Amino acid sequence: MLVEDYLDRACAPLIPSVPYARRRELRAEWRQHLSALIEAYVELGHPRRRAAEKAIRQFGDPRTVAKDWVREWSAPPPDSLLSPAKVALASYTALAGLSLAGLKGMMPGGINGGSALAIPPEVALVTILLLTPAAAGFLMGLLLRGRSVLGSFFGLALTCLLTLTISGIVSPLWDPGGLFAGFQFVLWMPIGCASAAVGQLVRRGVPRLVRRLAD
Amino acid sequence: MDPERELLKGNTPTLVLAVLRDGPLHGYAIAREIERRSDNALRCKEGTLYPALHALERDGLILGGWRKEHGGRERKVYELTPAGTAALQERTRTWARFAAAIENVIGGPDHGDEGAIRPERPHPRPRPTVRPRPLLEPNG
Repeated sequence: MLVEDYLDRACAPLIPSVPYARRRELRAEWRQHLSALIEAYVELGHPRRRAAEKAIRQFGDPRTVAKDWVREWSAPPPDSLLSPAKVALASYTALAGLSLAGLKGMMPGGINGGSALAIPPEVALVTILLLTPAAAGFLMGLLLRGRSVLGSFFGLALTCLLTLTISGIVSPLWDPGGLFAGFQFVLWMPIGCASAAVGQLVRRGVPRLVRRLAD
Repeated sequence: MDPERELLKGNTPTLVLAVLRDGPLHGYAIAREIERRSDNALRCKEGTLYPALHALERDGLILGGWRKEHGGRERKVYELTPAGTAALQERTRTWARFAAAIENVIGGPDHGDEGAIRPERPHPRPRPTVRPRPLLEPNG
């Protein structure tokens, strides 16, 4: 079963990133192509086994065929190259705004002159500084195809620069706003990017795990 | 890597669009048609067709669908979309301009100096006539 062995080797690299249904369709397509090549070589007078070997050689190295196909599968459409970065920028900017408002409300005096939040300041700080970028990054990696980690990096970098600039203009760096901007710069970028990478791994790995469990 | 293979790889999507202009085909038939039209000059590893087909389908230039054949077997067949037709026309024009520019640089039948590279001039001056050298006289 030369052809099936070849198809096993060609389709294996597709498992982490290509859904099962698409993989099955592609395998069927490649099988038909190879069968047609084999029949053509048999018509030319080659024994069937020799025809299969020639057909496989003409189709190409299975790792190269798989690698090229996965590269196209993973590439976002040309006009959406900026989409992950746009989503990251929008989401992290919104998070930064909400976090600043929450932090301001948490401080004595609050937004309207009184303490606006009832939750303990430590809990609010941990939530704002650690959990929100982690959640946002993870969701990005989970939901977006393509370069979500790169998009996350650019989005975060711009948001952090913006916050740092605004807080530097508005108040000294040792004020809550300035401190927040500093923490954001130091913590959000690695947390957000790492979470996006974890989200991507989950997006690719869960279908594979489900497939293995089903088998 | 083989330069010819690199050239072919980069132009495979255009070749696929050109072949599909005449009607829907499946992957094997596309490879055979490219071979036939090029007099066997363009032969690639046929597995490399499928990333190109996927990219063209993703970009909306072709549409793939499973169709039943005479023997009852189903095959995935690709056809050109209107966007694919427009893209093919654009790529054909681009290729014609590119090929003409390359031909001008590397020399064609109208160039006097074979292989000579001259700086581009807005109004090329007529080339001076080169007087043939006299043949060397044999000794004696």
